[in-house]
Amino acid sequence: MTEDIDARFSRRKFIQGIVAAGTVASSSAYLFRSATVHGQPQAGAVERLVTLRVNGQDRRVDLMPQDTLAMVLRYKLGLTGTKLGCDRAECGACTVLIDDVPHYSCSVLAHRARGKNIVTIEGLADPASGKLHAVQQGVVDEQGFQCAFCMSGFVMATVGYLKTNPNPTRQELAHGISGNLCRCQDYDKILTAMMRGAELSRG
Amino acid sequence: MTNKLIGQNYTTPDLVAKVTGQAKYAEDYRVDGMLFCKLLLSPYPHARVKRIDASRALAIPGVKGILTADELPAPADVVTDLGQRLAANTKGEKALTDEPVY
Repeated sequence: MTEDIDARFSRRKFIQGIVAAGTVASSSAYLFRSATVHGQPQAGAVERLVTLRVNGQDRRVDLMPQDTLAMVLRYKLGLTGTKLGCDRAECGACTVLIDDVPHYSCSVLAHRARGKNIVTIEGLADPASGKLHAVQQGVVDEQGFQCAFCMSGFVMATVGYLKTNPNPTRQELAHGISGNLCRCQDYDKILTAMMRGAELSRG
Repeated sequence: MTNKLIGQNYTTPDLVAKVTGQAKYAEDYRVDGMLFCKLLLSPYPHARVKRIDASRALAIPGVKGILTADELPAPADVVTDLGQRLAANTKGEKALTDEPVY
């Protein structure tokens, strides 16, 4: 047990270096979650019912101070389209849009997203008709992904980047979504799919 | 004879589900009564395990069990496949026995 606690502390320190102080290693929060289910909240936890605006809907959710946005989206709101790859702001699989800007949701505290407009991969397609977003259609057309675990992150990053530069060159787009990693090493085809999405989004 | 797939454009069956975030990956499944496990890794690069006292860990509410090397099946004493990895014994140096023996 002692070793386990040591390991968590070192990881916590590491993450604090990247994220704002106070962010707790969220895999630990995730493990503690099962404890809260059994009626024993973590000592010192302040649980608060807040409203998050996700994909155009107001969602009431019980937030602990240390909950990351990714954990809340996936495990409290059931939006598992947002993936957790590294949980430490390296891979970009958890990218979501907060007020139209791509963010690593693993490194954003859910409390900081209050009052902001959060968009995940589930919120891109038209809810009424089911018509895919241009970037999603680009992925379908070009089949740019293999396992597609990283895809929602890539798609969200591209959607966000295209809002600032709707007509990027291949090189500009590559730079724009360079914060996302693909373990299948499928970058060339991904970029082709994203360029196709950019083309479709211009109509 | 015509080919259904070769030379034809097609959309893989799960692609739309993946691109809309509806596809379920292993980590996305939740079942009632599902347990979660966590690995305790060695904090030392080279050490011998003398004993494991899991009593305090087991006392934590919600902890269902602690699995140690004692729960592993006995090592094979017969080679059945070319390149089969041989475990010397359960208390041996696992890092070494994980290498193929040639």
